[in-house]
Amino acid sequence: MDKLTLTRQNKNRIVATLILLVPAAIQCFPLLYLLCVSSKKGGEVIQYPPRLLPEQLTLINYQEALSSAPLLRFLLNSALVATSITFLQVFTSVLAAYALSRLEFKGQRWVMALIVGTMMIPGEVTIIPNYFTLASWNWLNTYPALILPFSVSGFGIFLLYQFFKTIPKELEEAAMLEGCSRLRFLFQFMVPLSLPAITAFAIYSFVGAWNQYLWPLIVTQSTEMQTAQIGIGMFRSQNESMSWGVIMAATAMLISPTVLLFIATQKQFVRGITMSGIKG
Amino acid sequence: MKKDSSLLAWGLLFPTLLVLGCFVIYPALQSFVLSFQDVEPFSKQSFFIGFENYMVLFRSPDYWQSLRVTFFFLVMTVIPSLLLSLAIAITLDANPFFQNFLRTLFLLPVAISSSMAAMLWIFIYNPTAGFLNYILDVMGIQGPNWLADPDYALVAIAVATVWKEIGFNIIFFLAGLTAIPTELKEAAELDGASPRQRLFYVVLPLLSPTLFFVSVVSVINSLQSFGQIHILTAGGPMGESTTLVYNLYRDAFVKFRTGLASSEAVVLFILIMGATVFQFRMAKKRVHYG
Repeated sequence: MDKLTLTRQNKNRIVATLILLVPAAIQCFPLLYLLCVSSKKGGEVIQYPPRLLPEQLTLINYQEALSSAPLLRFLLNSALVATSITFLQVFTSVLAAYALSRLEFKGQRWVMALIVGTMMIPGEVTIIPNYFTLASWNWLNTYPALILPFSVSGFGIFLLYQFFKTIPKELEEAAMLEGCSRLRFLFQFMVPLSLPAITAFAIYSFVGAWNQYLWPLIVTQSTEMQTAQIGIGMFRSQNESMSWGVIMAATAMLISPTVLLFIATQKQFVRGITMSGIKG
Repeated sequence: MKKDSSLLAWGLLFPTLLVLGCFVIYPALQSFVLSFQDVEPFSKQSFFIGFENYMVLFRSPDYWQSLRVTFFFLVMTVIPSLLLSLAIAITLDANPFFQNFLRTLFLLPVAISSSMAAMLWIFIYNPTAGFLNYILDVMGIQGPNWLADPDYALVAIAVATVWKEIGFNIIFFLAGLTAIPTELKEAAELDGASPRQRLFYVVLPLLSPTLFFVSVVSVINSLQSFGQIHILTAGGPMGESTTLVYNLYRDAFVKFRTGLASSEAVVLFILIMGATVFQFRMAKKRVHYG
């Protein structure tokens, strides 16, 4: 019996592995293709029939991409914007979630309903008036324009609210008897105790901020303010004069930070996204 | 003591309410108001014109086309991405060799934004030097000019979108599958249930809350797709990839028809809400929480 189930188990594992081969190949093809095309010499890219592997590896496309667009600036902009949004969302969510889950005040339910309600408003509904608001403040094409409208997350507040509720009230009462103020309790006890939820939300928030497209497209006007997602469009629209090798090299450089970050932090990353999924 | 805590509460909520008020609630209401107005592009003067924007919208063949495109895109992205990611997640859960490696591979596109995913596919679709038409050529098929052909552009965008989206879905399906107690599957097996029966009568019903959540999110994401369309086709050819959101973007920020674009935003909001409510209704009958 033991031997039988063992072999059957192995058989199942082999079948599962085989089934996954084709989708796995398709899934990694675009990334491998990117690396191959970006390391081919000029004429070789448009050769027919195309060869998958380059005859001769070259980094010349990467050099050319770096000199034809401020790629590092794009990445720095993305990093600055995404980090600021993440930090602000976490900070405002911690404060608001604490007020909603631990303090008593009039209108608490209404505030909670309002915050949850804002989660249902899609971004497209707010962009036009937001654009006008920022234009009237003369804030277009600035970092605050990219950051400020996203400095609060209804979802983050909701997630932390639920997490804070699970922390025993007795802990807080005991701390207060010892003379600990509410704010000190929040930052010295609640926040460290909620670190798994906060990290998960921070990752979710960072990914969302990094990947934003429509809003940065609208509010950035000069090249030096563009984020990676928008900056890459330069390569799309100039593709008549630019070689595909260079375009692919630029893409490779702009996606590598998040891909590497993902590989390095996969576990937290996945947990961040699944925990955020509780909202359903 | 009580008064003290309510003052503190409002203080803590102040930044949140300020930002939500300025950048979510006010603009949402403002969009609604603007949708009943005609706004001069330069002087920004506005006049109340009743339902005129909505009438213009629904009399415009272009708008109906964008509704149709959005619907096809929804079908072409949500259904394949749900089925593929579910199948891949179930197979990944069956403990294949190199499980960790395979999982990383399938999840990787989560780290890639929609515009970058589009850049990855743009050269694959190149009619003369791209790999897709080369493979078709080897099989004796003359491949189309994918992104410039009105019949194929939307399909091409949908494929790139599905490629990017399935990683996100697989994360949720894997989490749902690991939450199913192994004893249940084993019990079914001992009772003589075939693998197919186990899948349809044990695994899928227990996975239905996850399935429901993922489909709600997928529908919303699909309706809001923008980056990949902007990069791959910019709404063309002949409007065949102009979705509602793309149309809204162009009316608002290229043609500066603020009032009209606002009415599009309101319609989009109603459609997203409608699709979500519809799914919740459907779920009442079919989703098993337990």
